Amino acid sequence: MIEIKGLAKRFGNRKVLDGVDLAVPAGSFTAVFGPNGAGKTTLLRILATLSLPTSGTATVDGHDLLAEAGEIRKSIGVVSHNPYIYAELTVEENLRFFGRMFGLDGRELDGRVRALLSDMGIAHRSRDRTEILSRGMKQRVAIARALIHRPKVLLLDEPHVGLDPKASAILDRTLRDFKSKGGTVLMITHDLAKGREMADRLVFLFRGRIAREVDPAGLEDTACRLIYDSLAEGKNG
Amino acid sequence: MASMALQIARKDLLVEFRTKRTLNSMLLFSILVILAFRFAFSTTKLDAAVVAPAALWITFILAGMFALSAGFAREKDQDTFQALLLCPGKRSSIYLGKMLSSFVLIMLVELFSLAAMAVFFEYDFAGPAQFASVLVVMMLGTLGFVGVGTLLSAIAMNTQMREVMLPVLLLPLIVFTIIMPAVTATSRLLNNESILDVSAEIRLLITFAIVYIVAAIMLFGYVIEE
Repeated sequence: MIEIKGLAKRFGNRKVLDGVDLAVPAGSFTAVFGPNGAGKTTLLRILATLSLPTSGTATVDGHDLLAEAGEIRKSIGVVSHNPYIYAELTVEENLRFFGRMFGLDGRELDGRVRALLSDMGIAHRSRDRTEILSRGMKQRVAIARALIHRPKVLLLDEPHVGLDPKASAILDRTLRDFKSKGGTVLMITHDLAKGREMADRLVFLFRGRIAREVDPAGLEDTACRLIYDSLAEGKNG
Repeated sequence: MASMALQIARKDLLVEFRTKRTLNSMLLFSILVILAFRFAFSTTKLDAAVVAPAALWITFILAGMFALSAGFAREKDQDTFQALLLCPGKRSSIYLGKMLSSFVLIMLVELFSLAAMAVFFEYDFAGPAQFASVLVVMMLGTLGFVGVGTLLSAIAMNTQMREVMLPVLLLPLIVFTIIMPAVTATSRLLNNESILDVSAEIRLLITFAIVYIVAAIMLFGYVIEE
């Protein structure tokens, strides 16, 4: 579903990504860990077509990153720690706007908006402007925004940051549902426990390179932490 | 592309009419400029056809800067520009949507300013034909102005002093291509000349509106690329 080969990104003389190779199979959930500055967000922004790589190639849902960016944007939903929603619009107006931007209209859009408002537990706030919502509520709207066009791939950048337990549980349930329906998830997180709990593959990104890939089955939190710490100290696991 | 542009323009106008942040500033600014010009000529014999075109176009251009700056600044400040970039379709749809919403907003303020000018400068339009001719010049001048201004506003969005950068980039480009023909045409029309008499100015305004908009559509994707 996502194929990355030799992906590199430089900002001036600074090498942020240094030849990343990664394959994320369809229907899988991959969590990417790494310290600040490791290149995680840059990797996600490149996959989301928000930034161009300096070199290397990548395909998302079979579409080439450079040649078919528009097609990739139809296939992906992006959730960041910033909700990317309009403060002056209501919850429903935000969803309708983004739905229309993805070509939805009429009954299809009505149904999709209703379903997502219900799934996210925000139907009772649908007529409220998002500027008065709590951080957790805004993040629920952001998830609904990302799912409005039924993407095949979800790209998540620290989606749990600032969420209360209830909002976090709704996000987890949504991600599990998405995966159970064949969706592919790539999640960047600092939360080792959350990543281990949710993902079926853990990727450790250090200094712009994939340092290690691990199957979390049977892996304890402490073992996960040990791997992370050893990579951070440069012992390479 | 047109559908996405219309959705963006509709959203921008909905947000603006709901908050009226930019619109109120523009209206206040325009009435202040008109009044300042009126008071400046309060002790001399006022020839509206001479003073009004300058007063109007200073108002249009400077009030228009508010609209151009606000369009992208709001997206940048709320980080919603990223969400627009994540939508499918051509990047130029974003440019066209922003251009359209700025055009509508500026035209509203221009109509208000024109009415204020007629009241405070005690100017009577000769008839609907004269009013329509002035309106055509205003629309063409504004189209060229927002055509290039929207692109430059996108460039200024990522600079540290974006409020300063926009006029610095924009004004030199429009002095001879928009302001000069628009002021000349408006002045001649208010002096009861017909629209055919200002066809040279109108051709210039149409040409530069097309050149600016086509160039901006081609360049916008590069301008917003990281």
